[in-house]
Amino acid sequence: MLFLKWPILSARKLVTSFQTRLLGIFLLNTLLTVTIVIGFNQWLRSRLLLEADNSLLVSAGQIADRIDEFHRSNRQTFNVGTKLPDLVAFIQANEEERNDTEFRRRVRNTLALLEVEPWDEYYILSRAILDENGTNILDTSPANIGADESQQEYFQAALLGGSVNISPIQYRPERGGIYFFYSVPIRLNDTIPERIIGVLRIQVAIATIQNIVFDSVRGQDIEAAVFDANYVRVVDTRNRNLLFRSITQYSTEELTTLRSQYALPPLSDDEVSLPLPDLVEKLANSDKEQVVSSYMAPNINSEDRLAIVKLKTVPWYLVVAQPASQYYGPAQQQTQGILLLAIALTVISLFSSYFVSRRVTRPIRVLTAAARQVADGKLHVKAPITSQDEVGTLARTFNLMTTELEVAQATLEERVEHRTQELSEANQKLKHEIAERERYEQRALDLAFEHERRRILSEFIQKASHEFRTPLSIINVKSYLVKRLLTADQYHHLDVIQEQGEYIHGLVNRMVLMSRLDSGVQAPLEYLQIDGLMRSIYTRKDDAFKEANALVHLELQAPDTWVFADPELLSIAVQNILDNALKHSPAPVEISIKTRINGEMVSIVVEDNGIGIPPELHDRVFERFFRVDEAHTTRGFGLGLPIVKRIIENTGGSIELDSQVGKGTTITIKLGIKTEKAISLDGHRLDSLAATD
Amino acid sequence: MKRRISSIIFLVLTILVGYQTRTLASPPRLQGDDNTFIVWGPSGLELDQYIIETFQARHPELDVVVTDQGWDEALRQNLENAILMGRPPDVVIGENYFRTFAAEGELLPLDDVLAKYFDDIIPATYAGAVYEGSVYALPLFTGVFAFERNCSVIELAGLDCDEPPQYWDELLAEAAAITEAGTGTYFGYTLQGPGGTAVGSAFRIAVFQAQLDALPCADEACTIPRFDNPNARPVYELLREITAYTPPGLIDNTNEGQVYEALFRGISAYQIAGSWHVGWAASAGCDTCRYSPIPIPREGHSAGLLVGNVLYGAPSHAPHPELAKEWIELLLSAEVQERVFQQLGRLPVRFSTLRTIRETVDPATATFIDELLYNENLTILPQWANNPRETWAIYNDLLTAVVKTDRPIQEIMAEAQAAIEALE
Repeated sequence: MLFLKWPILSARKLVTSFQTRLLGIFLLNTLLTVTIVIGFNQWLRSRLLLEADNSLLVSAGQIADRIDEFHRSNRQTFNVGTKLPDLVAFIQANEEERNDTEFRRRVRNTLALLEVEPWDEYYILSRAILDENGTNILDTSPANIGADESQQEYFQAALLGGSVNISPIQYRPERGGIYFFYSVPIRLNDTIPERIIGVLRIQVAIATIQNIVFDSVRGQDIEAAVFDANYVRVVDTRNRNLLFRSITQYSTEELTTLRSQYALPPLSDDEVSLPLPDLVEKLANSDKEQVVSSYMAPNINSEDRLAIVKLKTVPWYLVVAQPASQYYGPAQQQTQGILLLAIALTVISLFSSYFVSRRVTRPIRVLTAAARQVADGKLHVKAPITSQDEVGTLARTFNLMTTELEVAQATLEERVEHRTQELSEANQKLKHEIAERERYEQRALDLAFEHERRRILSEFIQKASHEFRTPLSIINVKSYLVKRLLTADQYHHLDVIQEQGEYIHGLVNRMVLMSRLDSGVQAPLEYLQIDGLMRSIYTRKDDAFKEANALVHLELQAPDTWVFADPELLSIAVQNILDNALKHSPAPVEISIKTRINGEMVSIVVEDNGIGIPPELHDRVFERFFRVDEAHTTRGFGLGLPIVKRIIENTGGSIELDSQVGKGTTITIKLGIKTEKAISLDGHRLDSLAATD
Repeated sequence: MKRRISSIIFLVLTILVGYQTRTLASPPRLQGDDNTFIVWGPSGLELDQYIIETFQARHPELDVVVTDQGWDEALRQNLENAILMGRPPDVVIGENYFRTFAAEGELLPLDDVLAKYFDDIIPATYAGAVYEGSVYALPLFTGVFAFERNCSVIELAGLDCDEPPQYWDELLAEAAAITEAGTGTYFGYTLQGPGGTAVGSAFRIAVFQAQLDALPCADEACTIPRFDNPNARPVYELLREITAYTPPGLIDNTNEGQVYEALFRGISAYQIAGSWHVGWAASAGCDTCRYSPIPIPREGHSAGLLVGNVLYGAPSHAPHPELAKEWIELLLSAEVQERVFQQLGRLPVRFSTLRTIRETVDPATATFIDELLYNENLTILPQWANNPRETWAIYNDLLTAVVKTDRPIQEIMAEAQAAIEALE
């Protein structure tokens, strides 16, 4: 079945191809044009043939008119001639008078003058005067003189008819060959018209008629023939061998009759007729149909186009013939021309439509091929732009598309690479983030765990501290009460006990504070004027300064600077720093308390001239229960700076430590400054805040 | 001597070929018995009657019928009709169509008849009837052209009639002078106009052409037309010029008798005339008609053209061929030839007879006889081998254009030649 499938597919492809359809449209148009041309040709052909028929008929009419005119002129001339006195006188003369040479010569010359110009006199075979008995009394052909012509049809017709008569054509070799007669009655005078005394008889050779017809067709593309009343062909300009043969078949009786009338040439029965029954019928019916087609000769292959005219003066038929080749020639030439034109149109259309369709579809095919190549990945392929029309626009658009595709492909790898790199980076980042997140989560978990641990611890410490504080308070109170009852020694011991108790109490307080800070529970924050707060703390620590014989410098440079913090905790933080400074600074202790504005931050700086902290311990000093003095030469719990840091961080600030061993330590607290506007937005009044100082 | 040897060779050839041709003749298609001996020719004159009676006396069983079938184209056409009808005449008269019919096998060769009179007959008189070496017609009488003048007209114009023009330029000058003097009552020259297929006009014009060896022929036998012969141009120029001195209407008149009687009636001064004009002029009452050689062009020569050269032939399909030959031989007999001039006023075709009558005729006739006896340039009108009717028609159209238009003669000649080539 494959051998069938392929041609079917090919045919289907062919039919559905744009070029084939375009070709089909062209061919359809050509077919339409050719059909119109052929239709026009048919119309024109019928017109041409009609014109040819008319032309043929006109020619036939003209020739027939010439023959008729010839007869009419002769009849008139001869009729007038009969009135010549000499002719009448000659008939009336007696035998002796007629034999008068001069009289005969004169009458004979008179007869000789009876002719119609421009006909050559020699076509007239003889002129004769017949007396009323039909006796030839004078003849230009002397051999006929004395002959009895009384029984001849021409004599009878003239005598009895009383008018000019034209006889049938006669075939009598011994009397002059082939001829016809004009016979005109000669009357005595016009006063007695019925008195006919003789007949003027003019014998005219049939060559006369032949000459008229030959002259008429000369130079024309027509042929002519004349048939007499018995259908004998007496003129034929084309084929003289057909002359004097009848075109009808006679019976024996008819032959006998016609021969007795000399109406047939002296030929044998076989030779006298060359039957053309169709032509005979057409001649007989010429009154109804004058232009017909028929054979003009036996044994020929093609019919002629014939115009038949029946003569008016004699019962003859004039036939003008045109061979089919000539008659149909113009129409055939036109048809051939049109046919050639149609073929040429078709061929030209075929070729042109093929080439045009190829040309029209070429850009499309090229585009298709280009698209196919593009589909195969050859993005560099470009469709040629051959026009500015829609196809050109399509090609241009296609090229733009392929260019963009090419660019897109060219950048794709880079983009993919870039994207891959981005993805890789994102992946790395994600991994990092995940790790970070895990770390954060771990850290958060740790923090949570730590927080929980601290909370539990704080809770434990709180509870423990609470539990400690109450007995310690009782111990301290009781110690105080007991001391007043004790001796000095006892007092001293008890004082030591009380001191240790207060120490533990202080430790517990700090642990409680630390625990409270870790729990995140804090008192509501307030707006604090930082310099005011510092002066307040300085005042509160004034006793301690004096006790330590410390020189404290207060350099406050942040007037009207507000922070948002817990005043109690911030005070504890600054006091803890000052306590550390007092505690770890040898005499003379010198401490500077400063405030400064750095942009949006305000710094609280506390400097001392203490022992300093080794650099490797700077980060650890904020760890809980870490003590730089590992020997514990000084009293402390290792919670002072961790609490400071905790308070500052809870406040949103930061703490920095700068310390050099032997030179002193500088701790800087940085807090965010709150502007008046912010404070206003928060709905607080500065005056009230200021009053808190 | 050279002419005699050529004639002998020609006779031998014609006899040989003639016998061969005769055997090819087909039997007549006559219906039934026919004892009528039909002759186409004149019958009304004394000589005609003599011949008829002599022949009838020899053959009393025959009914000898002589009919006049006209002349020239009419005669030719009638003969063709008779042949086609199946009963041609036994003997037929004619002048210029025999070669055409002979070519079609319609005529009997008459070489055996000619052989009996070969040395005594003017060769030019039957030259037009020779076809492929055989002769198909023999002459009864002949004629030749000469120059005819009417002294009464010439003298009326104040010119001397005793000194007729010898050259064309003299003719033109005198014709002009006479026409001017005539002021419409008489004219200088009679020119027969050409017309249709007739050859009457061509005959006389051929004389002028022969003077320049410019007959309208492409071959020596003058059977192939050539109408653009440049040597003929002076002839046509002469015709065009002399037409102005011709009586009005004559050029359009195809009646030869009426045309040439104009000179007898004192209307014209000069014309070319056949030998029968002598008797014709006399019968017409022209006592002042005189004859002389035809004027020639100064660069040409004298030439004689046979005219009125009446021949008789025998159709091959006629029922009495041997009787026909006998009739024709009768025409060449001494008794008939001697009667030709006496009874017809025509000139016999036998040298012996011409010499005999030369001693007795008038000077005018002697002029014509001398032409026949002594002119070595005797010729005949062209005998076209093919399409004679159409060829003459084309030639007459040429002549008509020459005498009736002012178109360039060279153009007219070229046009005629193109027409004749198209005809072929």
